[in-house]
Amino acid sequence: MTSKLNLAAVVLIAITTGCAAIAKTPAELNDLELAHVAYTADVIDIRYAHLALAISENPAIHEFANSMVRDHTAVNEQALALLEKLGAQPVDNFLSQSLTTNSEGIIDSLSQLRGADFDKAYAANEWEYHKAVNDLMENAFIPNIENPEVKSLFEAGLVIFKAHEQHAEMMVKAVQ
Amino acid sequence: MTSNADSSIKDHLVEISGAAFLPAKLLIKVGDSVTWINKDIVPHTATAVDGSWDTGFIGSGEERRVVFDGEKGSAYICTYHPSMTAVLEFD
Ligand SMILES: [Cu+2]
Repeated sequence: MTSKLNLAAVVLIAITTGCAAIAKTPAELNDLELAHVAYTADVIDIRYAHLALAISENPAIHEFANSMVRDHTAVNEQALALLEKLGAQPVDNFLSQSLTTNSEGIIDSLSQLRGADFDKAYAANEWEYHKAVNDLMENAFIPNIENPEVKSLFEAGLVIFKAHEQHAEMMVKAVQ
Repeated sequence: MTSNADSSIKDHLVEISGAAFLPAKLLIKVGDSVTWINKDIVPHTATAVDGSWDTGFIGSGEERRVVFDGEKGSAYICTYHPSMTAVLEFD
């Protein structure tokens, strides 16, 4: 279970295979590809949250999941508004695709769990997921974004996602 | 300048920015009010840990004011992001 839920490892595999195939790393993605990755990462977390709202009976998990839906939806609305203002479209890429494929496996695994088993696995995955995505945003994406407005939206998102990471860590400890 | 109870009543400002309350510690008097302004891109709340007061939902770019007509719970959090904590201290 734990290894299936290890997003960081999957991202690393994606990076390595991506390197071999098309000589691209996350740091080499352009602004419109990065916008696509960020949008995809938001959509994935919203999907995890909807799964939690459907399966979990724990009110604290529901509150956390509602915050994920509320915030990732708000950030994506701002991202779409900015892209529209810039007259640009997000561009699909290897990292968006591997994040989506990986999330489908995680949703499969999570959806087979019930009760405390689900709550523990969901909280652990949220903590891992936010750590991995925040690390990518901070170290690979933000330093390489060219458009200042896109950059400031990523920075504003990161500070919120770091609060999610802390909240997820609190959840992991609470459901143990 | 001398001041009586009425003229000393103040409205304090707390900015919510970067998933934090600024300032995180605010000294107020009974009768004062506090306005929270949300400069983040997501909604927040300012909610007493003991439940004695609550701004409710503060959308991005919005503000909410609470009048403290008595000494109330001083520790508060954002219920959406419980890692956000702050304190009101009553003088
Ligand atoms: Cu908040």
